[in-house]
Amino acid sequence: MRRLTGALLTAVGALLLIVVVATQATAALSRDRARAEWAAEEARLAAESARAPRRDESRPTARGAAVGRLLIPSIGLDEVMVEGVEERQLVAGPGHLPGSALPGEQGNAIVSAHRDRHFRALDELAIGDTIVTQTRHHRVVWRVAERRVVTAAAPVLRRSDSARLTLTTCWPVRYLGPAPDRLIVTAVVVPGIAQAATK
Amino acid sequence: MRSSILLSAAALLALCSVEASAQFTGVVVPPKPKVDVVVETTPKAVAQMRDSVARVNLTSMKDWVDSAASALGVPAAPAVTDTARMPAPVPPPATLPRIEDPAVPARSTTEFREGAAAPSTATPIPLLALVGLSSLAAGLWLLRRRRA
Repeated sequence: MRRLTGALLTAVGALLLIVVVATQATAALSRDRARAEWAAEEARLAAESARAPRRDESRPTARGAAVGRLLIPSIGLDEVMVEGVEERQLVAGPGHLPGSALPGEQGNAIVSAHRDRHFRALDELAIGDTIVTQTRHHRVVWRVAERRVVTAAAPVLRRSDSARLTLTTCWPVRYLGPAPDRLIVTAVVVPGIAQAATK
Repeated sequence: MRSSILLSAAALLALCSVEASAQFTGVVVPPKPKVDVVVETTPKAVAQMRDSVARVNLTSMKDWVDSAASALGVPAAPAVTDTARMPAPVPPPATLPRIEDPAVPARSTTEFREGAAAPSTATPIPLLALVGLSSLAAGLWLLRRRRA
């Protein structure tokens, strides 16, 4: 009986750990793929701007495609943002919410990520900290203006007349199981620093 | 041997208590069904009812008190909230302002909508890792060889 229970517990534990390791490995591969895609996109943009500066702002972005880079120096974050906020996109990097503005465009740009992966240190972000976003057409420096915690169902996504960046993740950051709340960080453009990426 | 099995089972149950906490309310015993007062209508009973000191077994003291209070014009006591059936509140962090939401069911947000909830970024991976490690450790401990 003892050996049977031990074998059963060992098998269940090993199976769960295999699932966790496989998930993390898939996430690492997806992240590398997004980084490579963004590096190729940057190279293409640099070559295009060298030939003839051209804008194609309205070009739609496919789900899972790299849309830009997100840097937060104060917490050591440097990630490539991908389009979409579903699980298969969030394993690759912070996800840009489709339908919201892209960082640097007029409106509210919403970026979400898992608290145990890319945004694991988001709770350390303080008001006044600097965030930098780089997309195909804009390089923008933001300043954190607000942090708040809301319940998971709280209606927090709003349009904005001005350029605004909203970062979301689960709260509490260190919590076992599906976290019940959300951490919302809002940033505004630092005047005079926003610029076009291709300049 | 049995104590070690019980210990490992208790450890697993404790690990899963966050998920299973809602189940604990299942042990709350429901109130007993209300029994109406049976009033005899025999001549003897009628005689007792006319008597000002008739013996009546009160089975619902609350109803009796409420009826007496309403007769005297005293407002009834507020309804008692059954806190055992309410979920435990999550303490908000001390340094961050918290916004309470209306009673709207959580729905996964995959595209921007005005007034939508934040995208679902919850993940069970840390819990799976901890349960897996604990289960593996408990299993290996049970399988260890005892010294003769």
